[in-house]
Amino acid sequence: MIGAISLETISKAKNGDAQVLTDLYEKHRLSIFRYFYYQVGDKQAAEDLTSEVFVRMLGSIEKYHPRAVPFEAWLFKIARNLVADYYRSKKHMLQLPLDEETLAADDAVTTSVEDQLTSERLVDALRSLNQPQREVIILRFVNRLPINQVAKMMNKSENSIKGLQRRALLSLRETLTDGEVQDD
Amino acid sequence: MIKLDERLQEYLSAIEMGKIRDSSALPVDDQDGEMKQLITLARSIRTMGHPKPQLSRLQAEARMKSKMHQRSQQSSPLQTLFANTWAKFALGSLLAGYVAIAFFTVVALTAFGIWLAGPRAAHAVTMIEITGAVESNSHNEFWQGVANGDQVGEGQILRTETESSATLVFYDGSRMVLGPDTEIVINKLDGSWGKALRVEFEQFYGKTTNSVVPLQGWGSYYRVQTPTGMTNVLGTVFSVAVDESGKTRVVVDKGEVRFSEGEQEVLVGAGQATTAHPEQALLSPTYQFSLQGQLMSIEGDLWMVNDVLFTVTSETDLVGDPQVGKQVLVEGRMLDGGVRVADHVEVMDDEESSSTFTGVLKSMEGSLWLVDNIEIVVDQGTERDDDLEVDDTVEVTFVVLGDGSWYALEIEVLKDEPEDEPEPKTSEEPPLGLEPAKPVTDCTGADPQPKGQELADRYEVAYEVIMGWFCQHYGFGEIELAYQLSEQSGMLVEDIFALRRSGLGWGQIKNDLRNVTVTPSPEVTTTEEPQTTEEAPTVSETPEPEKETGCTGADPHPTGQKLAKRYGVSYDEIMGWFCQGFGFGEIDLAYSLSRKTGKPVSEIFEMKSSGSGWGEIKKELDPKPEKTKKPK
Repeated sequence: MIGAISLETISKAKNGDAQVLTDLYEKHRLSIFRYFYYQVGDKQAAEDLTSEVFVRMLGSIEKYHPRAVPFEAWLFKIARNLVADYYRSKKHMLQLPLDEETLAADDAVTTSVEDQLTSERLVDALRSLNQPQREVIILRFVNRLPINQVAKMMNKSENSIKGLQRRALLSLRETLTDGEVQDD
Repeated sequence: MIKLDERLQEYLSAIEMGKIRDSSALPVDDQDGEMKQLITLARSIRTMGHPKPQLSRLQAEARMKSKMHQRSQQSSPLQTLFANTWAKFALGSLLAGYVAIAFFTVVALTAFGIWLAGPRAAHAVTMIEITGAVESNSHNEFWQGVANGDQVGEGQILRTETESSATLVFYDGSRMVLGPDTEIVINKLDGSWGKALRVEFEQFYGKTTNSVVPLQGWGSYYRVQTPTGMTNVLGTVFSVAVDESGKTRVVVDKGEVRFSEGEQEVLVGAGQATTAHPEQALLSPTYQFSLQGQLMSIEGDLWMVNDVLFTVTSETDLVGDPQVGKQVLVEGRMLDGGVRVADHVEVMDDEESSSTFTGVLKSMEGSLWLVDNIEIVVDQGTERDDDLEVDDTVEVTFVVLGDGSWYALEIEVLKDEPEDEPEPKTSEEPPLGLEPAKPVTDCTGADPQPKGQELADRYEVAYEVIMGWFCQHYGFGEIELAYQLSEQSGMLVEDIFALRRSGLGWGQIKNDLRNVTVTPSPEVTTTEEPQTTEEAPTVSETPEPEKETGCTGADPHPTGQKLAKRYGVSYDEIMGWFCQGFGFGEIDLAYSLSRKTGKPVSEIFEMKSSGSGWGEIKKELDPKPEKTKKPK
């Protein structure tokens, strides 16, 4: 039965049950992949990072305590660390200018920001946001996680996430509207 | 500021719970429009198409297994953690006798509880035929991907993304297909011994197609709640579509559906459809039409597809910016006075074309039959059920001839009452990526399944083999057909199912196997008939018809261009036939027959010109085996 990951499942995973591990991979890889894609803006890199999350999960699942944190939050914690590593190793990525050509493409007075929204444009626009803003947009609206879960994953209060998501949406909308780069 | 943050979150929560579907529900006291803009942006990100990983399931498995192998080379010191915990619990217990008594009490109560709750299988639904991204959530937890074979239960929310779908198989064999961009929550899912089933869903948006086995036992029900009403059935095949505004369209193929909203209630019978708009009275059910093909013209509110005119109103749901020349699917209702009103027009990638409508067969004399108020041309080539009678509710598949008359290609009886043992409808798409041929017996809930047992006895194969096919989501009708065809042609049943999985329809498979008398390899039958490919037709000597100009009004005519492209011939050739008085539907039919049979298209048109009906031509060139009962 689908639902919260049970202790039994975690126990099996700890014992190396290949089927359970494969199931965990299947259940979470889409959300993890999208998280990475919108963080790094590269599908191939997102695939690699997604695999790496599960490799690291295998390496450290014996240390995971299900009562301390939900499995999914733990998995995203690994993912967040990987993103940080990725940016550390590729600092130039952060310095890349926005692809204003993409952002400005098809701009027309009569066409709304939403009508023009594609995953590529969103990736470009997300680059103008700081990391917490980018993360809250991805987790809340791409991965569609409820606010209480995002708060747990980002180690913040729900109120702080509410403020963060509004500021993130404001910045994102501004970027999508005029294609201007904002300073973090 | 905090207030703004809170208000934004309130609106976002409403969207997440499916309570806000269109801009009319967005804030009206938003002076500068900021709140509205942010909500709209958030909604757009939620609903836009997002990329998917490219690694296949097998690649993922291989990768995981490889890593598991590496892990097995290392020591694993933490495996005893849980064992130690339970050992301490057991040793610490000084009340063993009390525990024993409590244990037997609990067992007895549990057994009674299980009897009351009904079979375990009734509380879960099995997910199969997963394509694309399908996710589940319960109690506001994390969304998880759903895989084939997963089980879901009461309280769980299921959603599909664009180009994604899934089938839910219930304890009694009933099925629900979730179409793309659909979200439902399972509010009730249980049953009792004797295959009684109680199911209630809430459908927030998207489309579901339901094949419900006649419910058994007191208190059984199968309900789908939408923002504008509740459907309640007792064994039928029907679909429910909910758009962003909450408008609901219910279409019934077989049986009867009770659709209600508050005090209002309508009965929707076989072949009928009804549409419910938010905060409006329920519409009386009417018979329906469906057109798939190129949008040929738009003149005001009168649109044309496959030479059939219909009306588009402000309440018609338009999806994907329909324009002249684009391929579309139109679904609508037949109103009094022959008016056809479209409920839904959607741009499609599929280049197939077909036209159907439903109604009551009023007369069947000579070659002109009457279905409701519509005259249809019927001849020996018209495929139809043997037991067709006046007053039957029927579905007519037709093509518009050059003189504007509607020629019936097929007439099928729609049952008002569900059949004695209706079979769950299966998806038209072949299964994707499932491992074949491993018998599975726990996917139906009933053991043994009577229909499965009957087929096993009839074809003298093991019950597990029949159920193995069933659990690979073939309906019993399909399984029976496959075994029949196997007997007739000598081809292995496995090979016949392989043909089906390759994408061929059952009609095509029957045609392909018609002349096969010895056991062939599957390749023998797959070499034929690339009906939907772009390759040129088999007739190369088609004479250029006499060309006339100015006979179309549109230059170039989009349908003419489309047909030219589809059949790999020049636009002038197509328009030459058109200008000789043949309709595009006829031209399409002629080229399709030519491609299928090898007969030059000019000779086919000559046959038509010499007085033969299309049905006769079709029958002569492309005869089908005697039809007894159309398998569903």
